[in-house]
Amino acid sequence: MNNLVKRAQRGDADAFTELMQSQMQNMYKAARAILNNDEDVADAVADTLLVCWEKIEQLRKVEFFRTWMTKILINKCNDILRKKKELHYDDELQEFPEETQEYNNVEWMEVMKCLDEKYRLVMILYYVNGLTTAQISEVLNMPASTVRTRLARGREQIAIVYQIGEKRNGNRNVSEAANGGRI
Amino acid sequence: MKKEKAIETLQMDIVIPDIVQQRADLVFGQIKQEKAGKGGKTMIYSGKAARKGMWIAVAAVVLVLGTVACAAYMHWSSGMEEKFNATQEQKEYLEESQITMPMSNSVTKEGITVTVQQSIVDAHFAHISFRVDGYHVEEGVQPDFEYVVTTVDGDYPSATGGSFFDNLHVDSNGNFTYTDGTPVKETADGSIIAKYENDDCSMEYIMTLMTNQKDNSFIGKPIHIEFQNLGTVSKAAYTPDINATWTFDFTLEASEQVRTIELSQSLGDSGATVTKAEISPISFYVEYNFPLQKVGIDGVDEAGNAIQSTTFAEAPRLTGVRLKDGTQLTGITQGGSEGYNPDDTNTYILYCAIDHIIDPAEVDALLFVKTRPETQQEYYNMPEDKLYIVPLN
Repeated sequence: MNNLVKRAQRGDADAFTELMQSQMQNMYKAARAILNNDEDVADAVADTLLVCWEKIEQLRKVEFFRTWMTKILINKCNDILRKKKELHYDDELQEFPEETQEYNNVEWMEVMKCLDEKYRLVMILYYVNGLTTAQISEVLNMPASTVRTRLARGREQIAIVYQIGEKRNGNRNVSEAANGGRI
Repeated sequence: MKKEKAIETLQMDIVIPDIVQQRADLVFGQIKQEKAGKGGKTMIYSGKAARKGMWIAVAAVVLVLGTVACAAYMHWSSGMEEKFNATQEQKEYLEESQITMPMSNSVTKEGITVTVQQSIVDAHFAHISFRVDGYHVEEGVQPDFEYVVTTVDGDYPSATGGSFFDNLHVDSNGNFTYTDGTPVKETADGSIIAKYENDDCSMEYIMTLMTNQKDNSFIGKPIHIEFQNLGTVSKAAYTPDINATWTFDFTLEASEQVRTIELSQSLGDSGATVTKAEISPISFYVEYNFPLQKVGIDGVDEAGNAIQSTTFAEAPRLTGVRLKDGTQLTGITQGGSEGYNPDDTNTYILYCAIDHIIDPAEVDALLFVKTRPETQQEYYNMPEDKLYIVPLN
């Protein structure tokens, strides 16, 4: 990836495209942890791509490309959130809506729904984007201790939800498994 | 679903919704079209780049313009002062050594005057500052030339970058102010508003060049620069305003202040051996014995199809120096070039600009990255166990 970043810094549009395409999963999931619909995510990602292209030559250390890009993306997402809140106040803004396309997306969204809004982004940045707690601390401008606490609580939340789910569906899951069904 | 399975689910690839992918593809298409129309952008070093840390002034600078020869105090532009924060002692040294001279080559077109005012040059890098009078932009709007064509001794440099100076200053704690000390203004989203016009309504453009070959030194070479058209830029889009070309021809002169060291120092188990180093006050050049190793990289094309490209392994990067007084400077390297010698694939070459002034005679050891630091801050204070240390005896 470092080579793609360097080539992009020299104005290679193809390298930039390949670089950012390789980050689409990370960008989409991080943006989705903040924004609650794909249209807003599309805007945030598109704005992030433009800013990254405009400013990539200013990136001092290519090794920090992912944290740099993630910061830009989060700022763009927060811009969108702020504008929406200025237009109207909506208690439902933080709900995770039921938009589904593919089966993999359904499962992924189910896990995201288990998480409180304040744990989602930290969990995505850690488990999906592969950032360290120190990097997440820098990206979110949050103490590293807070990052670690939110990760721990995010994991606890998933564990609690899925344990409850397993207890409730225990007998049914066993029978479904016996019949080849999905647990 | 157990917790571990849930985390695996978070990590698995999902289908990017059409609306997101399509909008991203539109941006990629726009960028490629723009690049084709503008003739490309080649930037390895921006006058605005890397404002964290201390910018310390630079070594000798001389521009000889025709038969002009003066011996007078050299005025440092505010952009060059910010970019290379020279101490008074360093400025006096440069003047006493007569390696810095004033210049005043101006070109006026369409009522806009561009004046070359300062440069800082060594064998591999040239930083040149221009003053622009007669052009005005609104606050926060970034001016730019549509095209900048530069040749040195008839050849294109390996890389050229330039931008208008934004009058932003960063202190040692990473806090921003304007160069006049006033607090920065911000947009609603927290972005800093740059200030491109000085109080006297002039602007400054700073250009940086990198030579294309190790033996193709900039020193003493004629340079030709054409600034074509002037306008504004926002989100990678250029808006034209003034159609004109400002052309400059002069010679790059500087004193050679390079310390060359022959070595045979292996870098741990990296497989690389440092064989030569050249240290100038503003850049480093290093040769390694590091036989070519190809590396495959997995990626995706625009259609999402898996592709694989081939690149080469990189030798451990130079990150800074240790001085004889024990001072350690890491994270000081900037844009440059690295790769294998095309005539000898056992030799790996790296040269890069630095954002500090180094007295080559005071360098005690070269510092290379062994383990990448986790944060940008750690780059400036790397512990020894994350470094390969090459003493210079």
